[in-house]
Amino acid sequence: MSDPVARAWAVTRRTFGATLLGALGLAAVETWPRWAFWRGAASSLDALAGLPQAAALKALGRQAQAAMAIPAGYADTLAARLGDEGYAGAVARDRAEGRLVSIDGWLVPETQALAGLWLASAG
Amino acid sequence: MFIDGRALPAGTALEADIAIVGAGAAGITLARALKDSGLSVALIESGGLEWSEEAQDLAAGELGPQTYATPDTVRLRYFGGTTGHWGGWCRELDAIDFEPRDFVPLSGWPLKKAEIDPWYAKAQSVLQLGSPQRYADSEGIAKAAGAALPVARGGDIEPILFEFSPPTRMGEVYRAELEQSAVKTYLNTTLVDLRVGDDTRTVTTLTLARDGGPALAMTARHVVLATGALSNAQMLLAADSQVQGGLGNGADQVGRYFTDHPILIGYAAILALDPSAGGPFAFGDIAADKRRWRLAFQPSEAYRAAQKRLSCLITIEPPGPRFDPAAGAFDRSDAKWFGAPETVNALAAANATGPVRLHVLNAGIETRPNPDSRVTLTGKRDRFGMRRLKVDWRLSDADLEHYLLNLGDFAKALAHSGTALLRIPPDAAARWPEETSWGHHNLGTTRMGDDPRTSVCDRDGRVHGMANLWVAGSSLWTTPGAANPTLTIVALALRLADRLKAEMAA
Ligand SMILES: Cc1cc2nc3c(=O)[nH]c(=O)nc-3n(C[C@H](O)[C@H](O)[C@H](O)COP(=O)(O)OP(=O)(O)OC[C@H]3O[C@@H](n4cnc5c(N)ncnc54)[C@H](O)[C@@H]3O)c2cc1C
Repeated sequence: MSDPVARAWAVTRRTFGATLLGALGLAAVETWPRWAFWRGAASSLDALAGLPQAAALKALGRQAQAAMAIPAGYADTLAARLGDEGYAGAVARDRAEGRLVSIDGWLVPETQALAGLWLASAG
Repeated sequence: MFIDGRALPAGTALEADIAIVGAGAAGITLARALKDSGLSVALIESGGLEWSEEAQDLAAGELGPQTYATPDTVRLRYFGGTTGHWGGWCRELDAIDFEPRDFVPLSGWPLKKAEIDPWYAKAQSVLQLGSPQRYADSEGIAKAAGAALPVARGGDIEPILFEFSPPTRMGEVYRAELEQSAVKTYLNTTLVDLRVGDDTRTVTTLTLARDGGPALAMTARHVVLATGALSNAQMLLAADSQVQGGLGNGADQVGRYFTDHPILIGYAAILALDPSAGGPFAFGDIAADKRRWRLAFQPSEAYRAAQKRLSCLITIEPPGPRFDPAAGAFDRSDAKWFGAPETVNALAAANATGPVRLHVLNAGIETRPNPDSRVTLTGKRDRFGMRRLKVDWRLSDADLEHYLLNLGDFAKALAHSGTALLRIPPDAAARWPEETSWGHHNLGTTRMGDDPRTSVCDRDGRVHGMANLWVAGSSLWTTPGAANPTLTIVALALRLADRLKAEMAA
């Protein structure tokens, strides 16, 4: 760090420290599901593979591939939802809003089905 | 007092102020309610005190194409009637069940529920139920049982309760009381004809057949048919020797609108996620408050009105397969109820936060009134010369459609609460109506109404156009609702007893 920059940083910290850290903290809380979900993955879709239930979702996706019409552009929809809320948040929203799809008659939160499809599509 | 009709000498003249035909739930209730009225009451029962093949044979008949219990297996012919093997599930009809609904043609009883409520309260003790009624108190009963509800009350699909009668076997529980009373109970005595006076409005004579002797004649000031919904129609239709088409049948309404509650077994299943909802309360009989209850799920009255939906009562059956997280699979699979094992295993593994069980759902559903669904007479005769009946039950796809919509909403409610996922098998519609069971609830056939063109009885159960002929029992149902009928049968019989007392006093 060059001296002028270090000095500016020190001044900034002294002047706005508390507020800034507070704001950063708030931002972290707000985006927490996404951060927790991404956990270093390159994209929200890649992060699905890191979920503890990934194997189960993939198995579900294989059934979904056979049982439901695969929605066009589903990967974009899924990526956007995961990006916004993370997997758990998106599934919770599906439940809350009654956004369910049928796999062999089981009415499943849509994000769960789409996540399964994505994981199954990766082979 | 019990009298065996077979032992009466030929030509014995019988008379009564009120002749009640049929000693089942309705007839015994009426007789008990009238026994101390000072009126002479005759209770006429086709069977004896014990079940017999000879009596049961009189109940035989034919069926239409729809699979259904044969007429001699859906009811019993002996003292106590079909309460000899009823299941005891009790629940009142809802207020909306009595209302005209624009999406249910020919709906609207001529009564409001509030008009029956006082007799509902009295019917509780007849069926040995708790008082006061707690059919809406799913939360209170759940609390008393220390259990949680999978969905909350007040939602679109809400938890309600059945209360179980022990079940009251009317013929056993009230036998001594009637035997010791002034009511004359004629056993092994079968009504085969109703004769009317010149006015054709007044029943003057009941023709009573029995084995071992010629028929007897009974005169009565009032006659109540309480022979069950199939036989009530059969009797009115068969009484056609003086009035063409039978009594009360000027508008060709007798026997029409017959229905039962289709019981859809396993047309849905759930994967229960929340162990707190998997306790004994939610999924089977529960004991609370020294009574036995069963939880069911029903579209709320407000929701039915807003969505224009027929009713249904969904029960969650006791736990089936258990998920083993280590194996990633259920301990057994049954594709008929739960679909492909791979799917249900994956679903459980993807959603489990604790123990996971599978349950079959059953439901009793409401059907629309259908005039072509009917009871008619055939050319075949029983040993007393009575024409046997044919039951042609017709179901429509719309009845199932409403149930599937209600199930979809239940799926949403369960998903919302996070307690379960629901399955509607993709072949549900293909199973209908062949794979339909029934509640053994014979309903309709002499429906109540203000308009004689579309009904048989008035708001009190008096046959339109008849001065002294009344009907008791579930043949009066204008629309079936979803609740089992016997509590309402008893309530309406108690109400009729008061009505008859007033009529006789006037
Ligand atoms: C297996 C089964 C389970 C059931 N479970 C339930 C339940 O859990 N909850 C519920 O609410 N309901 C249940 N029901 C229905 C219940 O039993 C009936 O609603 C009730 O018994 C009807 O009462 P009722 O008096 O109208 O007719 P019934 O009880 O059938 O009585 C009619 C009487 O009339 C007599 N009779 C018929 N014809 C003549 C004649 N010509 N002359 C003289 N007597 C005659 C018969 O012998 C009989 O005694 C069940 C029924 C069955 C078969």
